[in-house]
Amino acid sequence: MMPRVNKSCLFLLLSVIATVTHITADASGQLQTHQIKHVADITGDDPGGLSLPGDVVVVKGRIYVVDGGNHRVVVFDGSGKQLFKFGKQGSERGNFNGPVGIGADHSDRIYVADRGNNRIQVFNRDGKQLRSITVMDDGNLVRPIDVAATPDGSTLFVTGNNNHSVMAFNQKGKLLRKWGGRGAENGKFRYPATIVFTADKRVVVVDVLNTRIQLFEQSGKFITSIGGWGVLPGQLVRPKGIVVDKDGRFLVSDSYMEVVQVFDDAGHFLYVLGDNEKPYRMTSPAGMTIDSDGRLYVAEMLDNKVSIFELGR
Amino acid sequence: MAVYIKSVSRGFCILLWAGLLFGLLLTSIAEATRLPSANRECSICHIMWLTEFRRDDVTPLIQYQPKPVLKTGKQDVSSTPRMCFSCHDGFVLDSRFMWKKGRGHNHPVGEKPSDKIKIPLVEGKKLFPLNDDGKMYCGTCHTAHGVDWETDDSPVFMRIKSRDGELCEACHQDKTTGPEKGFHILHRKPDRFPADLKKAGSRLSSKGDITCQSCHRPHAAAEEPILVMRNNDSQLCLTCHIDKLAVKGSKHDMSLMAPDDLNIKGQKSQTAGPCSACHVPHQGGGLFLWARQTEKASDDVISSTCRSCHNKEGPAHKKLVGQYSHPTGVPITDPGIIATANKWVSRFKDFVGLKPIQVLPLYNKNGRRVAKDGLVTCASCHDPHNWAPHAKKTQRKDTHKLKGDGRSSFLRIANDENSSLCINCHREQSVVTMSKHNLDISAPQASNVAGRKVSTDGACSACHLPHKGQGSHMWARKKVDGKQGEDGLCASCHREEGLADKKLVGDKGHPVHAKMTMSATPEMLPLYKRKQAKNGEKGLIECATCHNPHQWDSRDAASKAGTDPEVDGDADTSFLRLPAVAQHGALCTECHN
Repeated sequence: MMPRVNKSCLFLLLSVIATVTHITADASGQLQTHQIKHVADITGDDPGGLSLPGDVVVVKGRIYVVDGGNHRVVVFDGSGKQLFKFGKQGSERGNFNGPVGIGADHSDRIYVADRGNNRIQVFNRDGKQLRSITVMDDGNLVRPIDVAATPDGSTLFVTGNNNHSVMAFNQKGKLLRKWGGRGAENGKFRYPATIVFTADKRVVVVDVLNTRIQLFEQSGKFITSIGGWGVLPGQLVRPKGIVVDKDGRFLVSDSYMEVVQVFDDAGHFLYVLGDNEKPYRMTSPAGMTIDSDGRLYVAEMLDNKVSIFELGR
Repeated sequence: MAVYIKSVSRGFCILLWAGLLFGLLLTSIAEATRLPSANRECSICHIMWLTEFRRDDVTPLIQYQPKPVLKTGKQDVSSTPRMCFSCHDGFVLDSRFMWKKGRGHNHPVGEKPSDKIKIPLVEGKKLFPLNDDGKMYCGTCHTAHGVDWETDDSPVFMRIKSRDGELCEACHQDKTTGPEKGFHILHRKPDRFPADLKKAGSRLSSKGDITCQSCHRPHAAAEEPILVMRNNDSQLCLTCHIDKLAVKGSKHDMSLMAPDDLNIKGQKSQTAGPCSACHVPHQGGGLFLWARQTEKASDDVISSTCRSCHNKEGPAHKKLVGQYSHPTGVPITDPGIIATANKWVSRFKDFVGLKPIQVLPLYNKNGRRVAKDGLVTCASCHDPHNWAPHAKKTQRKDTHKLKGDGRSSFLRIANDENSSLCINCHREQSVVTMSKHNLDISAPQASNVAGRKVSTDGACSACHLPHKGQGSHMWARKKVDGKQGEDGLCASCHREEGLADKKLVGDKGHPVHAKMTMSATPEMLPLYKRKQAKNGEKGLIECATCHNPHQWDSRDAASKAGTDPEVDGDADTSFLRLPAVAQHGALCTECHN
């Protein structure tokens, strides 16, 4: 008798513990921080330097920064020395109109979400434009915010600002599928922003005004969400950037609270980047990336720079 | 015992099931909090309304600061730039241009409105609220409440609809009074709306009229005072007023000629642009928004403005008009011109070959350009923006060394070898070109007191200078010592070794510079007043009493007989005003009857 009862009770006991833990884990105890070390700032060499950089990606030692205020992409070497830049304000081939997000594939192709021109522009690593994909949904132009390319570049996942959707395009720009739509339910969005993949190919989308991170299979099937509305640890006010580290942790920047919070692979809040229970404040942090050495790059928009950090162990 | 255990186990299981259900309920509640509720939607901006700030068991990631003191003063965080940017950063909405580096000139916030600002009241409350310190903040003009977000009337959450500049004008009431009060015109269709201006952010009203936002933009302006494009070199002004572009680089470009000279607002044209030397868009003096202190009680505002520089102490003290200069503030009817809207007609008949009359600008006393009954001002002959007639651009390497002549000097019509500018109005005197008094015929090498020759400056220049003349008729010749009055002028040529030494009057000629002793007063012949003539005193007889130096033959204005330098006059020609033989000796009998 006892074993059968205990088995059942044990299951129920664990279920209750897990549920309650899930609810309270985000908002319990002292503020957990994780030390980071500021290594360098990238501000640009041109007169005026970077202006409202929105996103950053590192490809084989080169740092590509979306210099949104200047409608261009600026490229730096690993030491922060400016190498070259490409694009200027305009709608012509290779030019930009308020670009926001940037991504890359394993062939070193650079993808830029050219928001105001309703297109994704694809460049080689030297800034030569390879092709352009017009972002359309049901015949309507869509403002892309960010783009994530599969490693082989065969499929581009694009977040749409005005259709509140994630769209998957093939290389030729054909819309393969889309999901989302405006709403607060799981799988819907209110202003989807940055988009990345996990190591196991799940699609991770920052859902800004729903103040959460949503995870999907590449088919668009909803998996789970992370975060939630609020100012407590584990909650989000204006999530903008996201990056997944080698251990599968999600680092989420919050441009209003000016912090980067870290969640584990299951979506549980771990800590906020900072020291001694004090968050490290950044200025309007947005797009982020992590290079092969594990260094974190954060686009601090209102500080017109990209900050580089070493993440403590 | 077994029953007891079984009972306890059952109770424990029930408890656990209840706990699980409670947990699931909590989960669903937690999930529900993720769905937009009215409370949550408000706290997207009104974040300090969140109750989480009151919890003692956990530290929020940001401090509770319901009304922090910022650079802009004490105000709710919901309308701070930081809050606005958290959405307007391109990820949700895109107003990055407002924060863009180097484009940061915005409508002032964090300042108290000046005394000129009149914020309208609605039911006793300011329509545009100030923050707790009485300073302007984002929320003074913007609100997320009370406007229809779905229309394009208030696309940026303005507190009132402002498609035609209503919001600006509600507070800046003093700026709406128009040119009569010295302010740039509003609510009129512009002559042009250049693409460059539009690209810079300039806007016309919904009716296509000029509004405040045609020149200003409240955010991300290129230059103070929140101008849509830079204006340190008058770029903004000259984008619309393209016909004034030639002022740049000219001698009227004060940024070159007098960079430290201050206008009425204390601005230097070196930094405020060439236009600012003479014009300001707000609080100018008069219709042309004058930026200069003009003479009080002037009968000619236009000329008075010119003299504000062209005076002994002014920046153009080297370019004075002199005591004897072409009159200003005088009617165009004086030389016999009848001016209508787009046409001038002379009451004197033109001789063949004369250039048609051009309409020149006339003004009333207040400086308004008028077609009829207008006054001649400096700006009638001079276009202060164009160094030379029809010049599109003035690109001089060394403006300081530039010297004017009859083909430049900001003249509207080149005063060329035909004296085209003078003759445009003085049609009656134009026949001088067909006489020996045209020195190009009789003494082409002669120079006037200014060293100018008729061959370049025209026939009129032999005897007259429009500025810095030598006497009442702006004489261009030096009077002969010992000769008085107008007689001295004629004698400057008609004397031994003079240009007209073959035409001397001799010692026993008709008296000149003498009082009229005859009882009769000539109607057809002019007498000349002494400088200090008493009232009622008859004028003096001068050479010009009998002679009209401009017309060879009084009976035939178009006669070309006088163009022969060797021709001798007789008692009916010889520049006499009336024939001395023909017509019963009309000249002599006019007095000696």
